[in-house]
Amino acid sequence: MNVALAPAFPDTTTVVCIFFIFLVPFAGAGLTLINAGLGRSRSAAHLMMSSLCAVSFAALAYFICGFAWQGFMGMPAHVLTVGGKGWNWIAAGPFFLRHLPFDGSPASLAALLGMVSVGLASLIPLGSGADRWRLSATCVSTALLAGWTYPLFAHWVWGGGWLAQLGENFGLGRGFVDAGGASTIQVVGGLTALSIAWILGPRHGKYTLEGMPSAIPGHNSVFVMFGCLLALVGWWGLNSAGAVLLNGMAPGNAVLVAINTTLSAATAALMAAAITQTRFGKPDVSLTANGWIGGLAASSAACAFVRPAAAAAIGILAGMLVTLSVEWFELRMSVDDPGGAISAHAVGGIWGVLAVGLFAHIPAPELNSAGRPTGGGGQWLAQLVGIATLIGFVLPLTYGLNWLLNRIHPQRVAAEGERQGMDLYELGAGAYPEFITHSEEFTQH
Amino acid sequence: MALLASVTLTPREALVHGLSAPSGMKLLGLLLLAAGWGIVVTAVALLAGAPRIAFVLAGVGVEILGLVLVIRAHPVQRGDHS
Repeated sequence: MNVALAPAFPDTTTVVCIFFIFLVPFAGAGLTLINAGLGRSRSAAHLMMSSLCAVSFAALAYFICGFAWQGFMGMPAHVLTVGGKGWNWIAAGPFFLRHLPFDGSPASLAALLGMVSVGLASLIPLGSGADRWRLSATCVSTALLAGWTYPLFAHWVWGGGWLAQLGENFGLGRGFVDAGGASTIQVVGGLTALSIAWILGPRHGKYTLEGMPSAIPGHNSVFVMFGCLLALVGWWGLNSAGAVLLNGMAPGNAVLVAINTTLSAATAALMAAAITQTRFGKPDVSLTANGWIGGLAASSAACAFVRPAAAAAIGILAGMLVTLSVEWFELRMSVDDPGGAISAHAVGGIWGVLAVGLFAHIPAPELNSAGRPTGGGGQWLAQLVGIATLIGFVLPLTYGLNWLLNRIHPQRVAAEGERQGMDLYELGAGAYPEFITHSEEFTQH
Repeated sequence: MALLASVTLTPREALVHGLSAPSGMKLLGLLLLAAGWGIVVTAVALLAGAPRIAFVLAGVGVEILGLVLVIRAHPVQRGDHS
């Protein structure tokens, strides 16, 4: 239904895009280390195994039907016409990536970026479901996320869908803008994490009968901090690939994107450290790591359209929001989120999306098909409509799908499995076997 | 009474007082989320200028109300895992 296929990139742009996309798995590796480090040692191997399975299922589901429903600008789509305006709501591509030329065309690059992005999104709920989410349920839930929820919203934002067309059709700025996936990856993953945390319930022993939370510290802060540094590299690639491939920026703008991404993460982490230092007398490792990831998530939407000072300001507020919301979810709302995934990805990402409307200087407006300028005011309203869609549509959708799955196939491990540890109960072996005290017959004298 | 308590008390307070969320609380919250989104989309499609902004904000307000209901419904129901 769209007018024309996206024009092919020059060779250098194609190569640069491929390089950026190849960096994205570092973000996934970072998140996996963070999730493992913030969980218990007796579930560490299970979490790493779950991460690998989640990425695998995500890639497979995206290959089968995900990209067909996400599509790309210029590819076939289902469009409803209401009041003379087209509402492009889902792509109509063939399953199994059929008819897609794997020649470095923008559509093929979008398919590659989508495959690694959906893998990243699938890792986010593992942080909130740590220590109690069954491996089989993780795989099926990931397939639902990668095969339906993510592609649908990604089509609306990146595939020429109705959110992207809010500017052209309704004069709301340039339409909903998200350069690096703050909404499509981070918030969608974060809201799925919230759904999982609700459905699974808190870990055994997390809350007393009076409802007071008890601290269950992560088992390896070295993993957590190394994961943060690894994630930065992945985010450079993610934000730069999104800016160039999906927003038409010149490859040279990746310098600005990388600077903004780094500044946002840095200020968010420092703000989290400062808040915990002020409140508890010492900086907190896990909250500082959550602040760092929250800053990265917040940077994604506006990274290509703001000056470095604005990126630093976005990070400062992201650090505050993430730190305070972690406590709010745990203390006030009794949501047990061991990895802080809900705050870092959902809260941080929503703030980043809103920040586009507040700080972004998006390139000069163009004329739409009716000769009307598409830029100007209303960008904040377009961003607000996107946020309303995430909370009002994506959250009930992902919650409903996971609730249904839970009815068919219970997602929480049995009480015995939680007591024993996920490693032994579901995998039969622990992550750190050398820590086991062996009986006499296994020791050499 | 239980509905009012679920909305006004924090989950921890409700747990202490032995109150559980009504079974329909969660569903009502989810429906409010979807209804708020419907208001937002309808406002974008049918209105312009200040009325559009007002109705979009109203829709977001309905979503926040739904979110509050869903959040307060859940932890009380999950108290059995303590």
